[in-house]
Amino acid sequence: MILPLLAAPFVAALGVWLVRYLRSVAATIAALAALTVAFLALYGIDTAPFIVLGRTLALDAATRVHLAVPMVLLAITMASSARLPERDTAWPLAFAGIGLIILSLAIQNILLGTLILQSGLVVLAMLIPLRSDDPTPINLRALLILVMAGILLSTAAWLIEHPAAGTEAIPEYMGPVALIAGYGVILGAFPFFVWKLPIYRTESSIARTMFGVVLPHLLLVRIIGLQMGELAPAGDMLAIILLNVGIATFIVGCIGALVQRSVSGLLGYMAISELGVVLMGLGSDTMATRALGMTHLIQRGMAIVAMSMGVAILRHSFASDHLSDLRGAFRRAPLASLGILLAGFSLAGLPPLAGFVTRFALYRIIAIENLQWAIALAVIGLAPAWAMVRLAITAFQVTPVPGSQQEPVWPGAWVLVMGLVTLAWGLVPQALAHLPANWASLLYGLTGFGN
Amino acid sequence: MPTLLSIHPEILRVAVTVGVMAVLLALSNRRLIVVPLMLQYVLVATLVGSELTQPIFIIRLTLGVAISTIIFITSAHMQQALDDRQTTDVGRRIARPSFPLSMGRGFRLLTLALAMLMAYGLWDAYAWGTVPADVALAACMLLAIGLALALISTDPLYLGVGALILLSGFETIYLYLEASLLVVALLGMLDILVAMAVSFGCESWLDAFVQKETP
Repeated sequence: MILPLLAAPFVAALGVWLVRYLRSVAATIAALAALTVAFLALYGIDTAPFIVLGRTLALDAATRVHLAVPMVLLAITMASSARLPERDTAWPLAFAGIGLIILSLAIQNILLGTLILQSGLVVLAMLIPLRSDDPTPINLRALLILVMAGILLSTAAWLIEHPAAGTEAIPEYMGPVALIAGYGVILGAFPFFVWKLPIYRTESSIARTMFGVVLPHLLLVRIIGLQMGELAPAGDMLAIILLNVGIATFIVGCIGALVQRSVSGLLGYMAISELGVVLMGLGSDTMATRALGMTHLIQRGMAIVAMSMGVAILRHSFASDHLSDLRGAFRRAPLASLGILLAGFSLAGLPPLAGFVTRFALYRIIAIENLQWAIALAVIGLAPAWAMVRLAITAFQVTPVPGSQQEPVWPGAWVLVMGLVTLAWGLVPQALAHLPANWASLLYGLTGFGN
Repeated sequence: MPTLLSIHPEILRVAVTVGVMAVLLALSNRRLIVVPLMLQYVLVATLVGSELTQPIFIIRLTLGVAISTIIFITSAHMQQALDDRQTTDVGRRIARPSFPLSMGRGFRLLTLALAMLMAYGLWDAYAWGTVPADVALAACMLLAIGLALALISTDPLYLGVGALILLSGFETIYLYLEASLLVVALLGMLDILVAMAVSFGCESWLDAFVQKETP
C-alpha cells in the first residue's frame, strides 16, 4: 500500500496544475488531495515494505502517523487559499515537494534518501514568493542555503555509509554530527534560523505552512527514527545537541518576538522559539519528555497554521500586518483577530491554552536538573506573551483604520476554529489519553506497531 | 602531496581552466554568464568522465548543455526586460530603474581570486585519499568560487549561478566516490531542478522588481 501513498502527491500536483487558474477549484482539489495523502498514510499503516530495483521502500508506522498530522494542517491551509493571496503555482509545487520528501523518507538508503530530500527542498524553494514592495531575492537566498544544507547532508550520508573512512582526521561520529547539522540548517534551529524569517513575512500561507510546519514535523520524526540506526555512533551527543540547541533556539526566538512590530514577524520568531521547546523535549531523552516534545510539535503546528492564515487575512483587510495599521482589527476581522490571539497566546505558552501545558511540564522537568535555568527560561518565555498583549491592545481599539475592509468569512472561520481547538486542548489536555494505546504510543512516543 | 608547481599537467590544466572561468564570471554581463558556466560543466564532465566511464562524461556534458540553455534563456529575458524599462508606453523617458548596486567587476574579480587561493590552500593542506589530485583541486575551487559568487552577488542571476557552481563542485568529488547509475541520475535530476529553481526565482524577482519600479 505504499505505492499509492508515494504516487498520490505527484498525481495531485499534476491535477492541481491543470486547473490552477480556477482558484476555487484548485484550492478545493488541493485540500482534498492533502486529506487523501493523510488517509493513505494511515490506511496501510502496517503494510509490508515494497522492493523496486533492489531498493526497499517502506514507511514505519510512526512516520505514517506523523505524516498524516501535518497533511491535515496543510489541507486546512489549502482550503482557505482560494480567497487569499496565493500564486497559481503554489499548490502544484507544494505537492511536488511533499512527494519528493515522502519518497526520501520511504527509501531505506540514507545516501539516496538525502539526494531525494535535496530535490524536494529545491522544489519547495520555488514556493517562496517575493513581496512587490521589496523584491529582495529571498527565494534564491533560501535556495542557496538549502543547497548548502543538502551538500552537508549528502556528505554526512556518505560518511555514515562508509564508516571505514574513519580516521583520526574524520572520526566515526563526524557523519552523524554532520547529519544533525544539516537537518538543523533546514529546520532553522539556532544558529541557522535567520534564513527562515523572511519566509514568514511573505504573502503565501502555503509557504509558511510548508516551511514552518510540514518540513520541521517530518524532519524531526526522521531524526528520532534515525537515533537508533544511522545516528547511533553519535551516542549521547545527539541528546546533548538537541537540548542545548533547543535552549538557544528558544531564547533567541523569545527575545526576537519581543521587538517585532508586525504579526508575520511575531509569528516567525514564535515559530522558532516553539521549535526550541520541541527540541528541548526531544533532547531530554526520556520517553516522557519525548512525548511532551511530540505533543508540543503538533500544537505548534496547529497554532502556526492558524496564525499564518490570520496574517493573510489581515493583509487582505488592512493591506498590511504592521501593528500600527491594525487598529480596531477586531471590528473589521473579528474571526481572524480572535483566532490569531488564541493561537498566538498558545504559542506564547499562556494558560489555559494548549502551549502552556507542555511548556509548564517541560519547565518542571528542567527544574529538577537545574532550577536557575528553569526560572530563566520561564521568564524569557514571557517575552512573546508581552508581544501578543500589544497586538491584542491594538486589535481591540474602538476605531478601525480608514479604508480597511471586512475579512473573508470562511478563511476567518477556519482561523477561529483552530484557535478554539488550541483552547479546548489546553482546557482538556487529557482528552487525547482516550486514544487507543497503539495510536497514542505512535503519536507521542514514536513506538508501536512493530517499531 | 603534489603541489601546483610540480610537473602535473592535469593540475595546471584544472587551475588554468578554473582561473579563466573565474575571470569570465567576474567580467561578464548577464547574457555572457552562460560561457563560464558551460566551461565549468565541460571541465567537470572531462574530469569525472576520464576517471570513471564514458557514459558519465556524456551524461554530465548533456546536463551541462541543458542547464546552460535554461540559464541563457533566463538571462536573456532578464536583460531584455530590464533594457525595455528605459522607456514607457507613452514615450516618456524615465530614469533607468535603480538596481541594487554591486561592488563592481574589480571587487568580484578580487573576491573570486581570493576564493581560489583559499581553495588551493585547503586542497594542499589535506590528504584526499583515493581521490585524484586534479579532481580534488577542481572540486575545492568550484566550491569556493560558487560560494563566493553567491555570497557577494546582489543580482539574483549571479546568486543562482553561484549556487549551481557550488553544487557542481560538490558533485565533482561525490561522483568520484559514488558513481552508481542511480546516484548519477539523482544528481542529474537535482541539477536540473536547481537550474529551474534559479530560472523561476529570477523570473519572480523580475516581476516583483518591475512592479515596484512601475510608477
